[in-house]
Amino acid sequence: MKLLSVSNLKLYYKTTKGVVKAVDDVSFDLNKGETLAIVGESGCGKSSLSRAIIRLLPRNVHTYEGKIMLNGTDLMSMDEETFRKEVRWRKISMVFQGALNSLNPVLKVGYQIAEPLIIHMKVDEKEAIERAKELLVKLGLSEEFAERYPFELSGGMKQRAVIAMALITNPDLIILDEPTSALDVITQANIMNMLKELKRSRGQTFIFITHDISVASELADKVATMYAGQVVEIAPADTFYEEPLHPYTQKLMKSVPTLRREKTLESIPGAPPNLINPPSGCRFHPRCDKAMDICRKEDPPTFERGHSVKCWLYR
Amino acid sequence: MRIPPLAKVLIKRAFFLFLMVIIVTYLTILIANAGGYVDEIMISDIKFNVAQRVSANPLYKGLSIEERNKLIERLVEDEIRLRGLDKPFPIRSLIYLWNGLTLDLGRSMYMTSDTGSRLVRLIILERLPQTILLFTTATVIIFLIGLFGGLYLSRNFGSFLDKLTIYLSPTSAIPGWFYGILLILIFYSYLHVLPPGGMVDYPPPEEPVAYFLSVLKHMILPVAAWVISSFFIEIYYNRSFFLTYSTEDYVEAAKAKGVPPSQIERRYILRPALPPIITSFAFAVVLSWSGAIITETVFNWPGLGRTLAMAIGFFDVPVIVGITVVFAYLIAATTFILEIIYGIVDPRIRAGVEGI
Amino acid sequence: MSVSEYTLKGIFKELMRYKSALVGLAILVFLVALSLYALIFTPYAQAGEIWNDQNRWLAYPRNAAPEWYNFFSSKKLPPSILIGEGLPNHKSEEAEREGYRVITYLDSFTYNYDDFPSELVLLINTTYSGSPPTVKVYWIKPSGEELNLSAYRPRNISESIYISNNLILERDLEEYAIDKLGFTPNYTITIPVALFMEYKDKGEPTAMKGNYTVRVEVTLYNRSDTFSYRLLMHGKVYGIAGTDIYRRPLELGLIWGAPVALSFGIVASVTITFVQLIFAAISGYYGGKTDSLIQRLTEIYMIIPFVPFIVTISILYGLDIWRLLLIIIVLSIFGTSVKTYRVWVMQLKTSPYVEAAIAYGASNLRIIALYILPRILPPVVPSLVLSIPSYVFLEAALAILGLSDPKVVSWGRIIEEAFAGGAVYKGYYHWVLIPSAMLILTAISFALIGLALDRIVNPRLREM
Repeated sequence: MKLLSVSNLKLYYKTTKGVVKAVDDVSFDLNKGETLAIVGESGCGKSSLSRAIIRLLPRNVHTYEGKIMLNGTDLMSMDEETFRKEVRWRKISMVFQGALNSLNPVLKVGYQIAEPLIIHMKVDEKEAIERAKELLVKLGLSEEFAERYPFELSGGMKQRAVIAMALITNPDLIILDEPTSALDVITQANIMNMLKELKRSRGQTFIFITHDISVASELADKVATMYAGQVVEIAPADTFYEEPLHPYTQKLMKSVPTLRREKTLESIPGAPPNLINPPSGCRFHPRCDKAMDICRKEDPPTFERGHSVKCWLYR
Repeated sequence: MRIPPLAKVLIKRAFFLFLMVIIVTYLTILIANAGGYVDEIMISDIKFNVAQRVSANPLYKGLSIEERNKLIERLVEDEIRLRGLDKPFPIRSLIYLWNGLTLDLGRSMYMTSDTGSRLVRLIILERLPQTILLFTTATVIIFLIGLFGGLYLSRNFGSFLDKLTIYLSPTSAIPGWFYGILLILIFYSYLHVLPPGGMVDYPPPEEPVAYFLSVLKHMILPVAAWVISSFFIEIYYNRSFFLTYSTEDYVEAAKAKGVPPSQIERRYILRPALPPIITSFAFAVVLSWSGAIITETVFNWPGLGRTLAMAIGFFDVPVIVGITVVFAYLIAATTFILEIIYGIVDPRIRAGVEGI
Repeated sequence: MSVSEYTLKGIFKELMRYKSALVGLAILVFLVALSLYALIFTPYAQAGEIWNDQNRWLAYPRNAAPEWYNFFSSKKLPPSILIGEGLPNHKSEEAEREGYRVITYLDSFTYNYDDFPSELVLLINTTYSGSPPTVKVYWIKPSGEELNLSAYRPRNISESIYISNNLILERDLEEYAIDKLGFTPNYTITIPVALFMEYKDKGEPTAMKGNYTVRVEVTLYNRSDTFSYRLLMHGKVYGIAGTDIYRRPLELGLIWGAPVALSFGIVASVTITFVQLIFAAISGYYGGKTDSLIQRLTEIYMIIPFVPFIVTISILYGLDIWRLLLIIIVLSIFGTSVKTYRVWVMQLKTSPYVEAAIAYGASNLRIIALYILPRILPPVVPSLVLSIPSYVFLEAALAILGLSDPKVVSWGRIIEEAFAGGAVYKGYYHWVLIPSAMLILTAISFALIGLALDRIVNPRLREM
C-alpha cells in the first residue's frame, strides 16, 4: 500500500550569489513498512529533500512546489496551521542530522520526548512523561534519563532519546537525516540494530538519508541516489548494491571498501556540481566516463529498466 | 547535611566576590592615601570626636583656651596611639581597610547630609536611593524595549523596520548624558515645557500623589536621554542575539514537532537565551550607576553621582573615597544577585558544573 | 561565536561596499585633515597657552554667532566691520587751525543688516610729545543726521577706546533717540542701537540701512606728532563657529580639539584592545596558573567602579591628559573582553593550523604572534572601532566635570566653559551646540564604520 507519493518536488533557495536549486523535480513512491534510503555526496540536496517533505522551509525560500501525497492527502495544499496540527509529528516525524543539538538545553529530556503527545494528542503531562519513560526503556535507556537535561547525556544516549521523541506519536513516516554520522562505530551499530528492530516489530516506514552507503544497506528496501538536486536512480536494495545502472551509482559502489573481497578503490573525478548553475544537459556528464553527445545537451528523463534510472544510456 | 550543589557554587562565588571588594577597597585606600589623604580623614575625625568630648565634659569647663587645646592635643595623640594610627603605613592601611569594609567612612570635610550630619555614611545612604531610582528605571525601560523590539525584529528579519534600526544604530554612539544636554536645550531653554533638573519642584508638594507626579515629571528628560541613546543599538543587539538563538537546531526540531509558534518563542528561544540576557541586564544596571556621575551633574539630580561631582568641586576627600567604596560594594552585590538568578535559570549551574 | 574566516584585508575591501561605512570614512577623513591642519599650520604646541590668554582676542566680537546663522534668520546680524587707516573709503584732509595741525578723516561704509553691532571700539595709534591729541568723532547716518560721539584724548601709543562703554554718551544718545521717536520705547537704547536705529512707531528696533559716514577730527599739538586710527564695530556673527564670552573664535577651538579627540579615542581603544588580546592570548594559550591569575584579575576589574576611580585619581593627582589616558588604559586592560578573547584563543589552539605548527616545532611566541593573534583580529576589529566614541566622550565627560587638563584645548572643555559661562541661560546656543556637533560627528563616523564592520564579520547575520 502506497504511503507516500512525491511528484515533481522542487525547493529552491534565494542567496546573494543566485538561486540554489537544492531539490529539482524529484519524484518517488514509498510503501508502508518500506525503508527508502537516499544517498549522495554532501551538498547534493538530500537534507533539503527531507526538509521539503516535512515543510521546514528557510527564510530565503524561492520556489516550493510539487505534490506530496501522504495516504491520499495532498500535503502541499494544506495551510500552515492545519499542517502543524495534523501532519507534524502525527503523520511525519524526523530525526535530525546533528541530533546532538536537537534537544533544548534548558528543558528536561523526558519532557521533550513527551511534548508531541501533550501538544498533539492532548495527553496530560504526567501520563505523557510516563509513556516517554516506557519508550526510553524500550530503546535501551534507563528511565531516570527522563528527568535529566540533555547535557547530562552522551552522544549515543541523546540519539536514542531523539529517536524516542520521533517515535512517541506513532507517526506513519519517520525521516532520519544522517542519524549516525556523528557517532562512533559501536554506537552506530547499536542504533542501526534498534532501527531494524523497530522496522520489524512495528512495520515502521522510514526515509533514511545518508552519505554512507554501507550504513544505508542495513536498513533499506529501496535506495535512491541523489545528484545535484535530482534523483538519478531508485532501485530495490539488492539490485542497487549488486547491479547499479547509473554511472554515478556505479562509481559510488566502486569507492566503498568491502571487508571480505579484494577491491581496487576508485574515486570519482571532478568536483561536486554548483547548484546555482548546474552543468547543462545531464548534470553528471562532466564527471562521467560514459558521457555521450546528447548528455551534454539534454537532461535525460527517467527511464524504467526494471527500476528507475535517469540516464541517456538506457534510452 | 547534604548541601545542594547550587548552594555550594553560590557560597564559593560570594566568598570570591567579597574578596574582590576587599581588594578594590584596599586599592582605593592605597590610591587615596598615596597623597596622605586617608590619614587626614582619620585624624580630623578623631580631632572632632575628642573636641566634642572635651567640650561636653563638665570637668573641663573651667579650663582656659590654651589649657583646653593642650588637653585636646594630648587626648588626640593618645587616641591615635590607641587606634594604632601611628604605626607604619602597611598596618595603618589595614585599619583603614577594615573601616572601609564596615562602611565606617569618617566625616566629610565640608559637605553635609540633609539632616545636617557630616557622617559620610549618612550622606551616601541618603543619596543612594535617588540614583538607584533613576537609573534602574531607565535601564529597565531600555531592557524591555530592546528585548521586545529585538524579538520582533528577529521574526521580521529584513523588513523596513529592521533596516531602519540598523541605519539608526550609530545614534547610540552618543552617550545618554549628551542627549540630556540637547534635550534640556530643546525642552527647557527653547520650549519651556520640562524642568532642566532637580528631582522635584521647589517647593516640593506636600501631598504624596502630587509629590510622586512631580518626581515623575523630573525623571522624564534624564530617562528619555538614556532611552534615546540606547534605543537602536539595544534593539539591534537583541535582534542579532535572538537571530542566533532562533537558528539553533533545536528550534528547527521544535518547529518540525509541530510546537505552536508562541511556545517555540517562549520555550525554545527565550528560555535558553535567559542566562546571557540576565547577565547583560545586570551589567547594564551596574554600569548605569557608575556612569551616573555625569548624567546627575547635567540634570542636577540629587543622587550619588552628583554628590561625587560636588565632592570633587569641594575637594572633599572622605566623601570621594566613601562613594568609590560604596560603588564597589554595589557592583559586587549586583553581580552576586545575578549569579543567584543565573543559577536558578541555567540547569547546568544548578548541577554544579563550573566554569560556564 | 566562532572565529571568522576573513582576513583584515578582505574585511576592508568588503567595507567599501557599504554606503554607511563610506559616509563614516568620509567624515573620518575630514576629521583627520582637520587634525593635520591643526598640527601643521597652527602653533599647536602652544594651543593651551594661547587659548587661555585672554588678551589675545580683543579684536574679536564677544558671543558672536556663526556667520551662516544669517541664512536661517529673518533678522540679519552684522559681521564685524572695520574702517579707517589703510582701508577703503578712507579720506583725510589736513588743515591748520590756530597753529595746530587738524586732520579731518572721513570713512564711509554701507550697512545693510537688520541688527546692530555689539560694540564700537576706536583703535588709535599715536606718537606725541607734550599734549596728547584731541580726537572728535562725528557719526552721520544715511538719513543725514549727524551725531556727536564726543571727544577723546588717547594717552598711550596704542590705545583702544570703547566708545560703546561711554555711559554719559549713552545717556545723551538715548535722550536724543527718544526725542526723535516721540515716545520711550520698551527696548533698551544702547550706543550701537542709537547709532544705527530706524525711528519706527512700534515693534522691535531695526537698523537704518544705507551709507554711513564717520568723521574724525584730530587736533595734533606738536609738529612731529603722528596719528592713525581705525574704528572697529564688533559684529554679532563671526566665522564658521562664532565666538565665546572671552571673544575666542570657536573655529580655532574646534580645529585644536580635533587632534585631541581623535588621538585620545584611537590610542585608548587600540592600546586597550591590544593589551587585552595579549593577555587573553597568554591566558588561553598557556593555561594553568597564569590563566587562573589573569582570570581572577579580570574578575577584580569587574568590581572596580570605573568612573569613580578615574574621577578620584584625576582629582587627587591633577593629571595631564596623557597621564589620564594612561590611567584609563591601566584601569581597562583586564576588562571583560579578555574573557571573550580567551575563549577564541582556546578554540584556535586546537585548530589544525596550530597543531601543525606545534608539530614542526614552532616556538610558542611564534605561534601566538603569527597564527593566533592574526586570526582573532578580524572579529575584534568592529568592537575596537565601536569603542572609540566612548573614549572620546569619556574625555569630554571628564572635561565637563572640570577635570580636564588646562593646557589642552578639547571640545569637551569648550562645552564646560560654555556651561560655566552661562551659555544655556543666556541663549548662546552655538557655544554648546557646535563643539557638541563635532563630538557627535566623530562618534557617528566611528559608529558607522564599526557597525558596517560588525555586519561583515558576522556573515551569518547578513544573509540567512
